[in-house]
Amino acid sequence: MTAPSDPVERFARVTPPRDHARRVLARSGPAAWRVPPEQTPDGDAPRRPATRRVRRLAAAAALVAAGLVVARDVRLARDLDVMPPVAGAEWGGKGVDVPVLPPRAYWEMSAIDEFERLRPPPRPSRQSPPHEASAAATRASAGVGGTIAAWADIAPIEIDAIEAAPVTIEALAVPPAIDIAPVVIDPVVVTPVTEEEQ
Amino acid sequence: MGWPLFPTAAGRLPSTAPVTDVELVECARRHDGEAWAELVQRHHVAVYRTAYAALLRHAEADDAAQEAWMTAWQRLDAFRGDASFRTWIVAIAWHKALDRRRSLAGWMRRLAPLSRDEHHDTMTALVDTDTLDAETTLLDREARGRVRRALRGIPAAYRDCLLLAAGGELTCEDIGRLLGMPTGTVKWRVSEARKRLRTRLEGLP
Repeated sequence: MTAPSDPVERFARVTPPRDHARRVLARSGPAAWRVPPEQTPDGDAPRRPATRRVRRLAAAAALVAAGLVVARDVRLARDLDVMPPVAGAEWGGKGVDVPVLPPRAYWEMSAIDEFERLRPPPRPSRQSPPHEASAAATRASAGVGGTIAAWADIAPIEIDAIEAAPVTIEALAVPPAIDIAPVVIDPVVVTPVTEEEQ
Repeated sequence: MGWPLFPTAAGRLPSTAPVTDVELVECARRHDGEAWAELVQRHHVAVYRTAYAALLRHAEADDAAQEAWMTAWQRLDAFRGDASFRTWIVAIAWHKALDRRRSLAGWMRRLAPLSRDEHHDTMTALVDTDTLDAETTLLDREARGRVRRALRGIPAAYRDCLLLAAGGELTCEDIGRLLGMPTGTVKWRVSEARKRLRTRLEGLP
């Protein structure tokens, strides 16, 4: 058998698998339902549609069940990672390293008691001496005290009156005339296309 | 007493060539297994190539062809003989293949790698060329891969006509009846598909 030279024909003229016709006959025709599945010559047992449907449903159910089991294991492992160790839990066994646990008192202490114990005692409230600057500012804002007497010794500053001067605006000169020169455009010459350009 | 010359030789099978498809169908309706086997043997290549033209994958074409034959057997009484048995079974295969092509599951399967198809192509090339030259087989496999990639880029309306015609099992009239279009339209689409395929093949590496 020679293959066609046209690539499309070579692609389209596929040869069915060698056992294709035998499998067709195993699944269709009068002999398909009479021959038990074990007696089919090519080992590809004819399957009734109902049987195939049940097999597919069973496979799908098994797949879903396996997924649920895997998801449960993953979730359990994740929970174990974040779960704190139980106080007083016993570790050990041969070949297993016993982890170093915090002292037992750590697990039995009360968080509220520890907070009360470690909290610094409250300081007694006392009146701090006022600062000099803040006191002076306070007095200045209130207008009391000797601040006014100290400022009264400063001589007043004489300020000359501001005289308004006339503003002279010179007129602009007449702008020169704009000469527009004619634009010279070279004539466009169309030449035939050369072989290189083609 | 005449003894046969070769008493252990296999007996000659009776020829079934003169028996028409209509007669075979009539026998198959009476649950004649050999008649049905002869029908399958005559037309299974056309059915397989028709399914392959729609699906471009051997695995799916195989399944679609199997389904077509099972449906044909179950509805053999519905065959009226208006058209030939070949046209009837090919139409069933084509619609089975289209159902698979339009289904979501078929769309998902086409996303899968083509390793099985490539393996089938390799084996087909070995069988077709009767050669064990690995280089030739590899080149043929690459050529088929390029053609497949180029064909996937052509609209299905053109690609179907081209592949059905290139399959060599159906005439343009048969394809027109199968696709429900005039013969002239089929021929134009085949020509247009070849042009587009040539353009795409030149663009592929």
